[in-house]
Amino acid sequence: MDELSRDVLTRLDADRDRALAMLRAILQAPSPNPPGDTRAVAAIITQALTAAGIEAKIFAPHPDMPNIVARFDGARPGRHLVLNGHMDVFPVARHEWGHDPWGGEIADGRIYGRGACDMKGGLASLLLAFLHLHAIRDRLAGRITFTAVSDEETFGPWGARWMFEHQRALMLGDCLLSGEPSSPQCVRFGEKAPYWIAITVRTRGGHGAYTHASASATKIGARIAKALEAVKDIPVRAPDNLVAMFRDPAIARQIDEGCGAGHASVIPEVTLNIGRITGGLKVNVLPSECRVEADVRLPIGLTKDELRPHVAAILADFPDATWEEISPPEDAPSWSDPDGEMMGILRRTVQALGRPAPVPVVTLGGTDTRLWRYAGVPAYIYGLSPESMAAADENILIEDFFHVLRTHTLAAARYLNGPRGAA
Amino acid sequence: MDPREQLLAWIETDRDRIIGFLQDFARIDTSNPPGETRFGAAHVARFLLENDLDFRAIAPKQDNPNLVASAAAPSPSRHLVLNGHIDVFPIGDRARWSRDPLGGEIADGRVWGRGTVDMKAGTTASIFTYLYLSRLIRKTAGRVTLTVVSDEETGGRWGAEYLTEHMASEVLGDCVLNAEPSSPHTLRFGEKCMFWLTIKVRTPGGHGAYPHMSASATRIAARIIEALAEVETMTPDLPQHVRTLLARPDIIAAYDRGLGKGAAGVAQRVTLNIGTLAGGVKVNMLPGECDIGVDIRLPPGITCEQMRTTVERIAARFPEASIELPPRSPVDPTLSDPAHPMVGILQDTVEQLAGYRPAPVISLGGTDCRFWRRAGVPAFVYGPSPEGMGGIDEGVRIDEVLHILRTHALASWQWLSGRG
Repeated sequence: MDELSRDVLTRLDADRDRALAMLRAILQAPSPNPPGDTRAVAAIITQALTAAGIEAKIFAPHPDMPNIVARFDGARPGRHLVLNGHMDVFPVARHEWGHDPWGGEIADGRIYGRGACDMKGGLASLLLAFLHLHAIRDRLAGRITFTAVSDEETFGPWGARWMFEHQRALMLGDCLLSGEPSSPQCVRFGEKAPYWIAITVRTRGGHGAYTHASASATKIGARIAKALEAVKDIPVRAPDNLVAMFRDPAIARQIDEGCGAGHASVIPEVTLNIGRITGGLKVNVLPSECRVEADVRLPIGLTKDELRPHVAAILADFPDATWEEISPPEDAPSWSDPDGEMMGILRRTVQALGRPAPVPVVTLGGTDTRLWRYAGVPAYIYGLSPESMAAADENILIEDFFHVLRTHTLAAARYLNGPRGAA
Repeated sequence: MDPREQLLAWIETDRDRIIGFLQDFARIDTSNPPGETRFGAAHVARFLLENDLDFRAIAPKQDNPNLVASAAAPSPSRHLVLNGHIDVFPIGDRARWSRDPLGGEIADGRVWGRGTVDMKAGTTASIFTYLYLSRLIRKTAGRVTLTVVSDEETGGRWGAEYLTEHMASEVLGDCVLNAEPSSPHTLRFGEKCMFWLTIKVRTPGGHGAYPHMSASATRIAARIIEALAEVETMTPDLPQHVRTLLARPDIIAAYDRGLGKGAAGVAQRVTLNIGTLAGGVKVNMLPGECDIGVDIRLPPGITCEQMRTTVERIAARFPEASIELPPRSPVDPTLSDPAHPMVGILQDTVEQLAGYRPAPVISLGGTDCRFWRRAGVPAFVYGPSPEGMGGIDEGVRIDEVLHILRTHALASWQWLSGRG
C-alpha cells in the first residue's frame, strides 16, 4: 500500500468516534419520503462542511427539499470525481419496528434506523471521505465534488433531476462514486429501470349481496394482479457479455452472498411488484372502483417501448380497466463499463483492505446514478449491505460502515491521483 | 266510509306531504358509517309530534337513537310491528353522481338521493302507515307498533337487536311488516345472512425491485381472493317446500324481473363480495400488509359455523394470512313460513291495487327482520325496487313509494282486523 493510503487509514482510524457520531446524528434526523422533508439532515451536513471551511451551495427548488453541492481542488490539475448521496429515506410503518426508527440505536455491533443502509450509512461515509480528502488536498490532484440531494426515494422532481436540469455543470465530472447500498462484496455498475403503471378498474358497483348485478372491481383487480405476472416471461435480449457474467456461478454466488439470495438470478429478469392495491368503500358494498399499482423492473436489454405492448395485451383482457404509466421520466436501464477504471480501483482497494474483491453487479432498484450515466459519466456504487433496506429495523454492521468509509476515501484518492493525476 | 277506502283517500290527499316528508328525509345525511343519525331521527320525531303521536326515543348509543311508538285497541288480540331504518349507505365518490346525493330532488318521476331506495322511502311508508292505522286502531282488535331504528347498515346491534332483546314485550309483536327494497313484484319471507370477516396478510415486506426477498402481501391477497371463490360452490340444506317454491318458473321470473337476471340462483347460494381491499404503501415498496374485507352471504340452509370452518380451511393454505371474525357471530340465515296468512294478505292487496301477485322470495340482502325471526316472530318485507340501491344516482320512483304505502296500510288494516 502506498504512503498516502497508509496515512489516510491512520487518519480514519483516529477519527472513528467522530465518524460514528456523524452517522448517528444523520440517522436521528427524520427524512421520510413521502413527505420528503430533508432539512434536518441537510443542516447537519452543511454544518460539517462549513466547520471544515468548505462552502456549501444550497439549491432548494422545493423549500423542504434542499440539495447541497460542495467542492474543492487538489494541489494540481487532474480529473474530476463526483460523490453523490441522497438524504431522504423510505417511510416507516412504526408498529413493525422493534427499534426506534429515528434513534440511531447501537446493539450487537449494529446501528439501527430508517435509512441505515439506504442510504444514510453511505451518505455519511461519502461526507466523511470528502472531509478527510479535503484535509489532505495538498497531496491530491484534480477536483472532487460532493453532492447530497433530496427526493430520490420517489424519483421525485426536486432532487438530482432538478440539479441536472438547472445546475448541470455542477453535477458533471469524469466519474461518479455513489454510496447507495451495494453490499461490500459488490460494485454496482448498472441498474434496472422502473416501469410503473396504475390500473383503475371501474364497474357499476352496488350492494354487496347483489353479486349478479355488477362485476366486482376488487375481484377484477385481484385477477389483474395475477395476470400481470406474465410480464416475467417476456423475452429479454441483453448483451452477451453481461449474460455470461451473471451466469458465472462464482460471480452469482458472491452476488447472492452480498445482495441476498436470488439477486443474481433476478438481474436479467423482468420482475413484478404489486406495490399497492386498494378498492372498495365498505365491506358490504360491491365495489365500483379498484386501483392496482404495479412496479415492473426492466433488465438491461429490455426497453419500456418493448414492454408496453405486452402490458397492453395483458390488460386488454379486462375491459373494465384503464391504465396509465406513472414511471419517473428516466426509465431506461443504464450501465457503465463493468471493466471501467473505477471498478478496478474499487476491487483492488477492497482487496488491499483484506476483503474479497467485490464483483460487478446490477442494481435491481433505481438510483440517481442513472442521471450521470445518461449524461455519459461512468457511475459506480459501492456501499453497505442492502439486506434490511426499506424493511422494519433497518440496520447495518458498524464494521461494514467503517470498511465502506475506508474504501470510499482510498478509492477517491487513488482515482484522483491515478493515471493523469499522479505526480 | 269503509276503512279501506278511507286509507286510500288519506294517501291520495296527503300525496304531497308524503313525498315532501321523503324529500326532507333524503336531505339529511344519515350515512353509516359514520352513523350519525340524530338529525334523521329528529325528522321522524318532529313528524310524530306534529301528529300528536306518542313515542319513546331509545338510545343505547348516543348518536343512534331509535324511536318506538304504539297504538292499540282496548283488548288487542293481534300485534303488528312496522319496522324501518334511518341510516343509509355512505355516499362514496360524489363526483360520480350526476344528482346531488343529499338533494332530495324530484326529476323523471323519482326522488333522488342516497338512501331513498334503501330505505328512506320504505321507512316513510311505515311511518305514514302507522299514522293512518293509529287513527283506525279502535276499529280493529289489534295493536300496531312502529320501530324506527338507526344502525341497520352496520348490523343492528344498537337498533333492532337491542330493541328485540331489551324491549321484547313492547316490540316483538306477532307479525312484522318491513318496507326494505324488495321490488313490488316480490315479497320476502326469508333472508340470507351476512358473514363478514377480515383477512390480514402479513409478510416481511421490502423494496419493490427485490421481489425475491419477501413474499408479497398483495399478491398473496390476490391468490386468497381467487381461492375464496370456493365458498360460492357450497350447497345449502333448504326445507323441501321452500326449495320447491323457489324452483317454480313464476318465482324465478319474478326474481329476475325484480332483482336482475340471475337473482333466483343467487338467493339460494353463497355469494362472495370482496368489499374492501387495501395493501401496500407505495408503488415501489414490496408490501408487507394487505387486508381483505370479505362479505359472504349465506342462504338459509348454511350456518355461520359451517362457513367459519370452510373459510378457516381455505385460509390455512396461506400461512401469511390470518382471519379476524367479528366478536359476535352473526344471526344465522332466517326463514318465516311462506304459508303464513300475511303472505296471502300482501299478495291479495297488491293484486287488487296493481293487478299482479308478488312472488314470495328469499332476500339477498340482510334486513333487521332477522332479529324478529330469530325470536320466532314471522317477518315479511315488501318494498320498492332495489334498483340503484347503494350505487351512484340512487333514486326511488314516486309511484312505487305510494304503491308501497297503500299496500302496507291496507295489509296492516286487513291483518289487524283479523280478516285473513
